[in-house]
Order: sequence, then structure tokens, then C-alpha cells
Amino acid sequence: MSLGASSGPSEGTGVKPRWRMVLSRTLWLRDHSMFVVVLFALLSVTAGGFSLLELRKASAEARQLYDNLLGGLDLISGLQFDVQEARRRMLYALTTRNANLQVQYADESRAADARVRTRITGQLSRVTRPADLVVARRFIRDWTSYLQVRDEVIALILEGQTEPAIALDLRDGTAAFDHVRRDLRAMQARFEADAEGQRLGVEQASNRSFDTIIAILLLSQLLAVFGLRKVWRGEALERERRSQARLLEVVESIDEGMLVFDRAGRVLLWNAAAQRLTGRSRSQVLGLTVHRAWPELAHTALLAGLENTGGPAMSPARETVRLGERVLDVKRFPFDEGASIFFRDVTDLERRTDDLERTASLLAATLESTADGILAVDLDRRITLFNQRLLELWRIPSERIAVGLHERVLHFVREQVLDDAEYVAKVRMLYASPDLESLDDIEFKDGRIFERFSVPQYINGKTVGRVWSFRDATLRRAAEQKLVHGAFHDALTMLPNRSRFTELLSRSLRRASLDTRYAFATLFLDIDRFKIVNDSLGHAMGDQLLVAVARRLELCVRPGDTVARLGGDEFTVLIDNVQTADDAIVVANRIMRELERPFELGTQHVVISASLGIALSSTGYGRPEDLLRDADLAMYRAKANGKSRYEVFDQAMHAKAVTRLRVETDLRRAVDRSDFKLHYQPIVSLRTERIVGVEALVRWAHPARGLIAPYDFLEVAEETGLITPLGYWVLNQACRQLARWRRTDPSLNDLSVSVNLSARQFVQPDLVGEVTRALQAHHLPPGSLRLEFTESVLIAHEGPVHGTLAALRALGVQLDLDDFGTGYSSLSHLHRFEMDGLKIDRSFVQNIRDDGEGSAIARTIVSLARNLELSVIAEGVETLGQLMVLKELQCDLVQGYLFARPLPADAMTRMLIEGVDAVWSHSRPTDAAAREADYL
Amino acid sequence: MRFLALPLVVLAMSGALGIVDAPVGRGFGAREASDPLVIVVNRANTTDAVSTAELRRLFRGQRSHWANGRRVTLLMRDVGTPERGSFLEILYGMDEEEYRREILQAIFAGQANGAPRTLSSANGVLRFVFNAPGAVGYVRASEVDGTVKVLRVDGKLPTDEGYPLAAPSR
Repeated sequence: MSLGASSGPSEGTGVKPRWRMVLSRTLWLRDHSMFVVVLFALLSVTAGGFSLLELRKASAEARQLYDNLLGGLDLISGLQFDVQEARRRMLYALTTRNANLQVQYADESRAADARVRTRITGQLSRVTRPADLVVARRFIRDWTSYLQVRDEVIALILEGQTEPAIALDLRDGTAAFDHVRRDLRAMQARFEADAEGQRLGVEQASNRSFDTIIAILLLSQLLAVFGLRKVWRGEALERERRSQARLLEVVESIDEGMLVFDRAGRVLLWNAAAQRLTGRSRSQVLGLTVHRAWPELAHTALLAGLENTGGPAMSPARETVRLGERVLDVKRFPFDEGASIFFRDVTDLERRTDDLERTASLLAATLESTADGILAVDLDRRITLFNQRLLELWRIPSERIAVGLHERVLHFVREQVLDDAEYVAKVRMLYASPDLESLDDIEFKDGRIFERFSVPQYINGKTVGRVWSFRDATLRRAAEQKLVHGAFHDALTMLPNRSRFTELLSRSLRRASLDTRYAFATLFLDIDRFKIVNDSLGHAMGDQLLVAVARRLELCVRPGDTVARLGGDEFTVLIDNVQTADDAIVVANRIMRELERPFELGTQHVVISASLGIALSSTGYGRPEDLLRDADLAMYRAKANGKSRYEVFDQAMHAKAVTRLRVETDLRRAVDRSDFKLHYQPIVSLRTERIVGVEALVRWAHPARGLIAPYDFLEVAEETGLITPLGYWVLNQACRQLARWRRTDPSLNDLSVSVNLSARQFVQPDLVGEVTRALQAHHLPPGSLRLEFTESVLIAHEGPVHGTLAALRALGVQLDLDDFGTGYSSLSHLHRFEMDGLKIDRSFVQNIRDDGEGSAIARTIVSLARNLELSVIAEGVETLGQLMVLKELQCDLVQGYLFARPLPADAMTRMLIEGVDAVWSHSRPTDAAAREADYL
Repeated sequence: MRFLALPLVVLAMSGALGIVDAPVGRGFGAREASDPLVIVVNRANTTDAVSTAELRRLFRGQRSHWANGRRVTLLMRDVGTPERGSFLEILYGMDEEEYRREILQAIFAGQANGAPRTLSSANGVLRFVFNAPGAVGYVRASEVDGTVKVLRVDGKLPTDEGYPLAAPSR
């Protein structure tokens, strides 16, 4: 209305100019229409050119990004394979002992390493972005340091040090390799980021090209009005088609499977790699929903969002999908219109990871299966490795130990060891000298014993740490101790034996020498007449008795005391901590009382007694043997004094023992140096009144005490066995002197020499040989040697002596029975052993008075000898009266002071040369004691 | 003479290619005579020379570590190879059986530092030595390559007059 109203009144005056204005504008448009067309044409040309450039740029960018992506994926996949190959081959070398194979694996490992280097070097030349360069360099650095470990592990494997190799690989190798893998993941992440960027780039590029195409289409539409439409449109489409085709080519050529689906889930793109990896051709799947095209994905998170909301989830996702035998690594990148899925085959990668894990677990299992506890620490004493066995052995709670912790946290274990200070000192010492190897034992408070082995750990000859290995040696040690026990214990009674007892004595003696208040006693025990028990009841019973005695003895002593069996029926007791002899006597009495109770052996009742000798440490001994000897001596005294009693070794016994010891020592030296002389006493024939022989008598030329008569040392010589070398010396010396006399004067050709033989010499196996050699050495006829021995020889060793005597007699040597009449005077001996003569003991000769009284025994012996056709020698003839009686008795030979005392060799020589007449006029000494000494 | 030409060419070529170090053109007999055993160690080994006596001690397992602290690993060739036979003869003066007994005995007595490792080829020895810093082995002089170090023996190189490890018989 208002328009009509306003137009009405204004029609007359206002209409004309307003219409003219409109008209004039229309006319301007009409007049300038060509200009507009040209303007649009120019705009469209500009836009077209821009879009063309834009398309080219997008296409080139896409191509470059795809190139990078492909190269990257290829690189990563190759690197992953080769680094794992390098490590895996190295670990293979652990699985064989064949050096050839080990070398081959080492070479294969190096070959894989060479491939890694080629790849990464090639990549470095292409890298443009600094960040990529950093990642690649870090990879190279980590890979190089892993290779160092790898080379050392290989070296150790080749050198046969499998365990150190495993330990090193577990310690350094796995850590270094983790770094390498981390770097590879970082590189992969960068490439994947690139892939995402590329996808966005492609999207943008296609968006840009789409916008451009719209613009071009609009412009083309417009331009078509002016006849240019057809030309523009054709060229633009062609370019678009070519660009699309190029993109598709790229998509087709990549090694990863790629599929794209829209919001409804319909598959829009399915590249060649996708066909190959899934085995489904493009024609089969295009247009299908992705659920049907690839059912295996349906239940994965990758498509989860698609089902619920009708559109894909908005976040990227990644999942491992199994497709039959193969394993695929699938990634999803959503975008507004749908989603793209990239996937690749990681079957080999998975398998390699499996292999590697298996190898690592093998190594771990090896470490865990060893019976040794193993602990490795670096130079800072931080734990680098340990096994469970270590925790068990040392009873370490698992929360107290971890790799990386300082080794000091384990110091609480030292409370378990017996010698804490020594343990700490040893550990300190080893840490202070990193190159030291050590093997020793640790004793525990609970009795366990560990073998501790510690070796330095080297890398390229440089010490980097220390490996401790502990082995429980308790059982082995127990076995050893059992052996030791056997060596120190008597198998029958299980008591300590002589060596053990001597050792204990030494220990107590040491203690006594340090502590004047400490004293102990040694008790020597011998069962009286044990031989009778053994002979009458048998050895088995005898053994049972010994065991029973042992058990009773153990009951008689205090806990600190020791009962031992020296052998046979000899027992000893170490009575610890005694103050006086009385303390020991109390024990001795208890023992005797205890042993007097009858023993029940099976059905037998056996009653025994024992003789005991006691020696006290307070006497001041240095050697355990002396103490034992004195206790033994006291025991003998007890036996001698009537058995079933004890004797305490006293100072008198001691003095005697000391003297005897000194004699023994000196005698030993004297035998070594032949500090002896022979004196000779003539033996005169009563029939011819001429000297027919001499008796050789030994004298000890003591450097301090002068000449010593046999009485003072023969007993010691017998006991110590020194009599044997001494006897042979006498034999040889006598033979030499006789030979010299016989050479001096032909009238002495019938002279004989008499030599005394001790019982001990008779049991020497080579007596006959010695005699033969002595005779031959001095070219003496056997008949010129007379050997004298006492009846005790025949009694003690009847069997062997019989043969020896027979052999000597067969040799032609004359045998005289010495001291006849004082011993057994057994007729059967005289009968059984063939002899040449009897020597009437001096006591019988001295009994003969000048008037003939007291000659009965001498007479009997002479008559006996005559009946047995033996010659008779009377010794100890001192008076003419005795001589006359003997002559009357028709005794053959005499010797004694009446004729001569024993003389040194040269004096004897003079007497022999001067002749028998001198004998009768020889001065006669009267000192009876000297006479006595000379004859013994 | 034509039948000799081909092997000579092959030899010359292999010499030129560095496969064979022996001087070219001295003929097979000459080559064999000048192809003694050489003792090879890792290039990182600081030892350059040994005496025959040291070598003997070394190969009897009486030396456990090198001067640089590496454990000694002995390399032998397979039983029955001429190199091994010749090495045993020159260095130990024993045959295979005696050597085996000695090694067993030494191991049993705990004197030897591990039994020698056995390799079936010269290349194997070289590669082993290359990989193991403490290894010591022997190959023919013509088989040596640059990956290992050749030790002087009694101060002499294999090419020197009087080099003690003579050529093994084929």
C-alpha cells in the first residue's frame, strides 16, 4: 500500500528520474557486458592456472611423501630384521660346541651387522630433517655400543667361556639391545607420523584439487557461454584423471596393505598389497561392507565404532590380527568420510621375537638351573646380575635384592658366617684388587660350608666388575671329614687312634706351655693277660672285649677327657685340667674298679684287670711322644709290681728316662761315627797252655765320658735297635783285626776270634749274609770265627733262629752258647740246636774255691758238654786254684783276669807275639768292679 | 708344456687376486716348499713374536693368558689334516695318539687351560681368530688374509730363511 500511495503522487514528478536511473544502470551492464565476460574469463584463467599449479604441487608432495613412507617402512622392517638377525646368530653360537659352527654363526651375525650399516648409511644420505638425523644417529650410536658387547660375547663363546658369555649378554647385551630396539621404535614412530601426515596431505591435496576442480567447473560453465567451455573442461578432467591415476599407482605400489571405507563401511579402496596379504581380490570386495570383505576384522576394536554409531570411531587404532598362519599389524586412521586401514605382515617379526625370547629364557634358565649361587657386581659394587640360587644359599629375602642396588645391602648376610671379620677383610681385599681371582671356603655358624669363587669380569681386557659364585660344599666336606675321621680313629672301637691322640697331646702341651696353671695327665692302660683271652676265646671275642672296654673307659672320664686306643690292648686317656697327681689317681681307681666288673661277651663271662701308668704334664714335657713313653714306662712298672695296679711316673723314673734318652741320643751319634773300640781277651787252651783265641769286647769311646763298658749302653742299644749296626761293626772290626794278626805271624794262623751276637741280630734277615761277607772281606776261614749267643736267643725266636743257626753252622762258623747255666739251661735246646761249645758262666767259676769246694755246677756242665761232645770254655778265671780245679775237670778253654784283662788291639798283639809264657806272668788287677764291668 | 699352462694361469690369477700370497711363477714345487705354517693371532693381540719354546708351552696349555689379559684359546685343525700332522710333528715331536694322550692327561691333571678347539678349514681358523681376541691358530702362509696377525717365530717371518715351521706335506 504505501508503495502504491507513494508511487501515485510521485508518478508525475519522481517516476521519470528513478526509472531513468535503473534504465541507465541496465544499459551500463548491457554496454559493459563484454568487459564482464572478459573479466570472468581472466579470473577463470587465473584460477585455472592456480589450480593447475596446486594440483601439480599436491601430486608431487604426495609422491614424495609416499616415497619417504615406503622407503621408511622398508628401512625399518629391514633394520628390525637385521639387528635381530645379528643378535640371534650370535646367540645361536651358544647352542653348539662345534667351533666351526660357532665361527659360522659369528660371521652371519657380522654379515647382518654389515647390512644394518648399509641401510642406515643409505638412509642418512636421504634424511633432510634434523630431527630424523638425530634419531638415526642415536640408533647408530646405540647399535655400535651393542656391537661392542656382541663382539665380546662372541669372543667369550669362542673361548669356551659359555657362562661368562651368557652372563655378559644378560647383563650388558640385553640392555644395549633394548636401546637399539627403542631407537628403531622411535624411527618407526616418526615414519608412521609421516604416514599420518602423508594421509592428511593426500586428503588436503585431494580437497584442494576438489575445490579447484569445482572452481574450474564453475568457470568452465561460465566460459562455455563464451565458447571456451569445452576446451577448459576437457583439459581439467584430463589433469584430474592423471593425478588420480598417479595417486592410485602409488597406493598400489606400496608394500603395506591399504583399504579405505566410507562412513557406511563400504570398501572404496583395496590395494594390491591388500589383495596379496588377505588373499582376496579387489573385485571380490569393492562395494561390500568392510565386515563382509574382511570378516576377521569384524570382532576387533578396529571396526567396533563402525557398528555402534554407524560411523567409524574418531581415534586411530592399532591391533595385531591373525590371518591363518600369518600375523598382521593393522592400523586404522579415521577421517571425516570414513577410515583408512594400513596393515603389514609381521609373521617373521613375531617369530623372531619368539626365538629371541626363547633364547633369552634359555639363558635365564641356564643361570637358574646351576647349583651355584651367582652374583655379579660392577666396579661400583652395584648388583648387575644374580640368580635365585644365590638367594636360597644366602637366605636373602627377595625384597632385599635387585639389579642396580648397591651390593652393600647384602651385608646382613655376613652375620651368618662364622668368622665375620675375616669374611669382610677378604671381600675388601678382593674389591681392592679388581684383577684378583680367588677360591676359598666360607664356614657358616650353622655348620654349612660354601666354596666361594670370585673372578674379575673383563670387557676388552678391561676389568668392569666381579662375579661371585657360591657353592654349598657342606656335604662334600662332610665326606672329607669322614675320611679324615677314618684316618684318626680306630675302626674297631671308634676311639681316637694314636695319631689323633698324639695331636691332642700336642695341643694340650702347647696350652700347658702357655698357661702355667693348666696341667693334665696321660694315663696308659694295658689289659693284663689279654693274650690269654685272645688265645682261649678267639680273636672275635677279643675284639668284642676291646670294644666293651672302650665303652667302659668312656664312662669313667669327664666330658673334656679323651679315651684313645693306641693298638692291641693298649688304651690311653687324656685327663684334662688336673691339679695334682691325686686327680688322675681318682680316675685311675675308677677305671680299675669299672674294668674289674665281669664282661658279658655273648654267653661268656670274662673277668679282666688292667695295669695303668700315669704321667703328669707338670713334669715339663716338650713332645707328646715323651709323655706317652713315660706313661708307658709307669705302666710297665705297674705290671712289674704285680699287675692290676697303677703307677705314677715319678722323678726317679724321669731321671732314669732322661739318662736313657741321653744315652740313646749319644749312642745314635756314636754308631753313625763308629765311636767304638774293640778290646780283646785271650782264650787259653788248658791242654797246650797257649792262646788259641780271643774274645772281642766292645768299648764305647765317648767323647766326654771316655771309654764306656757295654753294661752302660748295650740295653739301650738293644731296645733302640742300634745293636744291629753296632753288632755288624763289631763283627767286621774283629775279623779285620784277626786277619791282621794272622798276617803278622804264621804261628797265629790257628787263632780264632769270638764275637757276641745279640738276640736282636738273630732276627735280622741277612745275618748269614753279613757273616759271610765279613769273612770273605778279610779272607778268613769260617772256622776261625766263633759266634757267642745266649739261650734267650733260642727261646724268643725258636723258629727262624733254628734256620739261621743251621745256615751258620753249614758255613763252618763255630757256635758257642754263652752264659750257660744261668738261664733255662734246657737240655732239649742243647739237643735240638747243633752247637760247638758251651761257656760256663763266670758266676759258677767264681764260686770255685781253691780247695775245690763249690765246683759242683762247673763239674756238671763240663761232664754234660763232654757227653754231648761240646767243647767247654770257662770264663772269669781269676785264681790259680780255680785254674787247677778246671784243669782237673778237663775243661778245654779258659779266659779271665788270671791271664789277662781285655786289652786294646796293640797290647793284645804284643801278648800274642811274646807268647803264652807271658800269660802266666801277667800282672793281675784286683779291682772287682772293673772286672765285673769288663766281662759284661 | 701346454698342459701346464692352464694351472699356471690360474695360479697367476689367484696370486694377482690376492688369494694366494706365494710368489708367482716359481712352480708348484717351489710354492709348496715356501708355504710353511704361520701362527696367527687376533690383530688386537699385543704379542708380535714368539720363540719356538714359547709356542710349545703355549700349545701345551701351559700359558693361560696373553700379555693383554685375554684368555688363550688354542685352535687345532681336524685330525688327519696335513697341517695338524705337521704342526704336531714340528712343535710337539709326537704323533696324533701321543698328543691325544698328553692333552687328556693334562686336562685330567688340571694343568691345561681347556682343550684346543678344532676347526675344519683354514678360513674357519682365520674367522675364529678374527672373532676371538685370545685365539691362536695356524694356517699355511698362502692362506693368511688381512683379518689376522702373523707372529714372528724365533724372530723370523715365514718368508725368512730358517723359519722353523716347515711346509706340511700334502
